[in-house]
Amino acid sequence: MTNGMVHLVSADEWVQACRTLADQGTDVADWLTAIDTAGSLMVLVHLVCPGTGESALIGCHVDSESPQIASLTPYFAGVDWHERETSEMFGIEFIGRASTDPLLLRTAEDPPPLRKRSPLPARVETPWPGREESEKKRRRRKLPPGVREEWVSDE
Amino acid sequence: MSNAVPQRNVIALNPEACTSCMLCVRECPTWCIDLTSHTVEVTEEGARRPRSVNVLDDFSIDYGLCMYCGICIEVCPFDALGWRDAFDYPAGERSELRQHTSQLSEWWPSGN
Amino acid sequence: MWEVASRPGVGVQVVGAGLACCSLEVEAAVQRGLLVPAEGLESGEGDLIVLVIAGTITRALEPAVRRMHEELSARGPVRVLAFGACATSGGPYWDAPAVVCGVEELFTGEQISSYVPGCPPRPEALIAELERIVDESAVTT
Repeated sequence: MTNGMVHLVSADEWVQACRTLADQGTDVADWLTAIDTAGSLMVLVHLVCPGTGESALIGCHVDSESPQIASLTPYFAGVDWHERETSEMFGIEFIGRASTDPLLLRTAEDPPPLRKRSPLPARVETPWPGREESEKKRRRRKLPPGVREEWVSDE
Repeated sequence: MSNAVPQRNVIALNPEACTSCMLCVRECPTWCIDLTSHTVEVTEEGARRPRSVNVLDDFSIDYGLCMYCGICIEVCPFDALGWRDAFDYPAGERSELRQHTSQLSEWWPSGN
Repeated sequence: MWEVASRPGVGVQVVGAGLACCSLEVEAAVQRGLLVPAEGLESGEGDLIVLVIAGTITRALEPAVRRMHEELSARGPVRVLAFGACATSGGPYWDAPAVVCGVEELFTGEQISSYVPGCPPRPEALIAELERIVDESAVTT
């Protein structure tokens, strides 16, 4: 049962924790996704019991540099599309998936779109109308909204 | 078309209320607002020293980029921006979609 | 072949590239009877051909949009009408790597007849622009 709280497990426990919850009733995979907090990368799955409305949120931190986690597809058919999408959006490898058909038309060089480290070149290169131009204000240059420090600090 | 329901067809400006604070410029998600201003010194009777005030030079919205979210209107502390009815302002050239102070203020009273 | 309801008798080949939400506004113009199928008007060489780009142009669909323009051009000069913010500049998605930032990236200034602002524009905004196109072409003929 969840009240919005995430039941955190380790990568080794991931599949078993989900299977145990399925045995207890929440056996339908509602959605699976990932959250990139720039400090960490966490895979999340929401399991529900359609009959009773009970649900569970299970999360697992994965390695930020080469993220991988076991696939839930052998046990939850409904998670297939979600793993496919999460894999492309975050660059996470789901081990044990039957197919790796891409959803997006991206080349291998394009960084995963939803990782916070993946820059939006348009926002970095376009001059921001909101930049401070007054000479009197000696504040540190403010970054425009939507532009992360790490995208510009290399310059 | 009924004018009883307020339409969100264009964003108009009241230049007299604008203090060039730049809040709208900074909060716009598409970066479509541009504002230039300069400061002047104003001396007031009884005041010990003059104070600086902003004077608006040009305020413009690029309606080719504007997504009509209304964040600029919501964020303006001086209610200098508002929704109006006018919707017929297309352009033959991309650059002509940027509307400046004079047109934005013409739309302010009634927006027609 | 279509007719702008307020300009009866003039056939306009309005071809919609219904790429995203803006296409619903184009449909609304038809639903409201502002743009009607032209009865009994034959297509001919002097026809007005308007390619309405209604919605976000993604890199994935860029080839299809180019092909639409190419194939339409076989019928005669095509006027590209950028309908809405996405077609004009990429709109809210201007910063997305997967998005083409407006018709200017695909067509020349001469090929682009007009930009209709809005997100989305009202159906009436499309009609006003089509009326203008019809009126201008009447002046030159």
